[in-house]
Amino acid sequence: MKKLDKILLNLDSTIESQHALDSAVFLAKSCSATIIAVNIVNKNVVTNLARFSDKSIAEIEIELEEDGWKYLYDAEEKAKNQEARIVIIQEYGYPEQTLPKLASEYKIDMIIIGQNPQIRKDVVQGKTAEQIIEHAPCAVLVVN
Amino acid sequence: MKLSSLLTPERIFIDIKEKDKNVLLNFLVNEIGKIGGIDDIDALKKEVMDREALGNTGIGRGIGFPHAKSSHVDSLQVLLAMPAKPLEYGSLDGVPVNIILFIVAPVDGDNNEYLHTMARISRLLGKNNVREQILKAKTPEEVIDIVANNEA
Repeated sequence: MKKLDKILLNLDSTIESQHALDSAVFLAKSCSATIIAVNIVNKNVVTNLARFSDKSIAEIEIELEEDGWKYLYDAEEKAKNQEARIVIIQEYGYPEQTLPKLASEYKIDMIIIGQNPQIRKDVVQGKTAEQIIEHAPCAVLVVN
Repeated sequence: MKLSSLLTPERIFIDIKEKDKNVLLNFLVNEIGKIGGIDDIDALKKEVMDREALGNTGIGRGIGFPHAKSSHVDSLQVLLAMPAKPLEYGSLDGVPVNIILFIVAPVDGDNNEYLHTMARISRLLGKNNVREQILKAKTPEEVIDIVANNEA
C-alpha cells in the first residue's frame, strides 16, 4: 500500500464524524501523516434549514460556520494532545463534490468520513458516502 | 464583535519585507507586544511556533491563518500582514502566501468569540473579490474599510 502522507478528514456534527476523527488521529500518528480536517458548510443543509426557519440564508450560514469552527478547533486540540499533525480548513459546497475535489487538489492519500450505518442507501444522506467513494482519486475509509 | 472593529491600523502591516515565515510570525508577535497585553513574548512565540510544527496554517489560496490560544495574552488579538512578495509558507496547495491573518486568544477567554472570529475570517477571505481588494489596498485604513464593507 502507498505510504500515507496526507489524510483528508470530513468533520461535521455527527458522532460518526468524531469516530472518524479518532481513526484519523490514530492513523496519522502511526504513519507520521498529516490530517487535513475539513468542515464543509453544506449548501443542501443551508437551503433546507432556510425553508423551515425565520432566519435568512446568511444568518444560517454564519451559524453553521461557527459550529464548523468549533468542530475544527476541538479536532485540532484532540490532535495536538495526541501529537498528531493537523491542518484545519472550512469550505462551502456539497461534501460529495468538495471532498474528491480537495483530495485531488491537495494530493490526498486517504479520505476518512463518518457514516451512520442506520441510514438507508437510497436516501440522499446515504448516497453521499457512495458518491465520495465513486469520485475519490484515493482510498476512502468509511467509519461507522 | 466584527472583524473590522478588531483590526485597527496598528494591527495591519502592508508591504512587509520579511521573506521568511518564522521571521514574519516573530515580527507579528513582537507587534502584539507593542500593542500590549502580553506577559511573556518569548513564550507566545514558542506557542505560535509549536502550533506551526503541529501542522501548517497555510490554508490555500494565498492565505496564511496562524492561530493560537495562549495563557500569555489577556485579550483576543487579530493582526493582518501582507508581504511585499508572496511568501513561501508550505501551504496545502503549495501557493505562496500574500495575506496573513494572525489570531491569538487567551486560553481562558470567551471561546465563542474566538470561534466567531475564525469563522468571520474564513468567510471573508474565502471570497476572491475581497482578497483582491485587500491586496490592492495601500493603507491600513483602506483594508479596514474593505473588511467592514464585506462583513455580513
